[in-house]
Amino acid sequence: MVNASLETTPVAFDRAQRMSSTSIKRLLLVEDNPGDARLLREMFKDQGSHDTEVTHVESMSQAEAQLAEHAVDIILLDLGLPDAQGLGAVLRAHAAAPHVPLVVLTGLEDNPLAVNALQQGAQDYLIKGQIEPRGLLRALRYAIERKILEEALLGEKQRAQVLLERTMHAGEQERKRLAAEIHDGPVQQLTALDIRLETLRDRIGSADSKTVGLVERVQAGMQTSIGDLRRMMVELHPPALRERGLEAALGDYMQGVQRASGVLCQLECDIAGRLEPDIETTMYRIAQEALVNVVKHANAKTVVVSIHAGDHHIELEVRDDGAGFRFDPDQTLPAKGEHYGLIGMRERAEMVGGSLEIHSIPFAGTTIRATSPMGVSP
Amino acid sequence: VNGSRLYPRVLIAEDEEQLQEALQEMLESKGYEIVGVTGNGTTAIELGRDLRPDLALVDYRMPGANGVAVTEALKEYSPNTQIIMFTAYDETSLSIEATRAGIFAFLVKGCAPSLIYQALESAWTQKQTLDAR
Repeated sequence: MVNASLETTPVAFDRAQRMSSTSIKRLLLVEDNPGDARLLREMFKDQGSHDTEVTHVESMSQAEAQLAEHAVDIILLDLGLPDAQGLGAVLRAHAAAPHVPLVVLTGLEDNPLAVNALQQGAQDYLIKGQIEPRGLLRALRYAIERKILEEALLGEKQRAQVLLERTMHAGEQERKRLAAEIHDGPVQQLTALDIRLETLRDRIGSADSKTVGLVERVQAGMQTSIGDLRRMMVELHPPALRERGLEAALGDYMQGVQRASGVLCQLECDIAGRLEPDIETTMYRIAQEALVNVVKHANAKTVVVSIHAGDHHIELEVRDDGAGFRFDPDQTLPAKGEHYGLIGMRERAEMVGGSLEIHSIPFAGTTIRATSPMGVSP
Repeated sequence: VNGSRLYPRVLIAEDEEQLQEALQEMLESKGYEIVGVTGNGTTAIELGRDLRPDLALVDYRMPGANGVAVTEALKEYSPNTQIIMFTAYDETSLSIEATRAGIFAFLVKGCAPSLIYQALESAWTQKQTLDAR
């Protein structure tokens, strides 16, 4: 795992450019065949790269010991060592020095292995018997450059993730604050005014029916406004989620959905007690988004939401019997423009260390399943 | 003793001052005796214990203790006191919790104020019936 670097992109790319023009100072050659090792050393000499200090070891354990003690610029790794072969060798070298560029040496017939090695963290591969002196040094330089760019990209991804988490968290906090403000401010004040108008109306008395009618109309308008504010408040952040937890808040929400849409809503929950507030909020928001989709797009008769506690995780499932949509499970998300907020749901699940799965078949309903680590509130 | 009183003795627990005043005004104009007004849940519990009101009009969200906790405590000290919850939280899960705690009625802010009065009148009848047993 690469640490999230606080370095900014321009600096990382600048470093990449600087490195490409510098020579390779310390190379670790991991190769058990003395003939191959000698050949590679000769090639370095031929290229006049006298300032490259080549450290040669013959096994993975020696390489690991070397990497633990000394910094190197690049590793050239044979995949047929006595104590490590194939992808296992790549993984061990990568684990021993995750930030050091890695070039593997493979045999002619090992093309699939070479491709796998690239996927597991190697920057390049060289085929034994096809290495030519001039290309060797260039391949190593490119590998270093590629590694630097990869690390910069990874850093950017991690920064973007941190930023997303902060943005979502700040958004949720802001919603809570606004809900509290609506509750404490306008809802209470308008209610007080409405009650005062009631007292006023009583004092006017039935003799002045015109004025009484006017007051009643003002009151009716105020009551509508209070109702609107109350709904806004619950939409921003349902008080039940804070006070009574996920099951209560989802139950309240689903009752509203059923009343407004006519879709039969069922809630099943086998969790006793409270979960961590972040996980409760995340699961609530995912279910809410999924239910909005069911009502808007699915044309479903029934939707079942189940919250289930596993040994170490929480699972939320929203299953409808509606229209479904074309969805390729190999793809991460449906076609562009049809994502129905699925990206947002997935991002939310990942934010708490969980994941999101979507299963949908045209005319056979949709199931959204979000899982998150357990996180039961103490 | 209750039989000789025409109007109930009422405790108001509501933390918004304007609303406190407005409720007090409305109920006094109906002849009710307001025996205590507070914006704090813990104080409401103490007042309930000391004053044994006939009726209590209780908000849910208050500093000190929420309306459900106030209801549970009042029901313990003075089982015949009838409690009406008056809250801005229009949530079924809250109304269920409050009902379990022993409220007489659940009213949501924004309802017609005449409903508050009607609920209190019914609660007063209930209180008198229970006391007469």
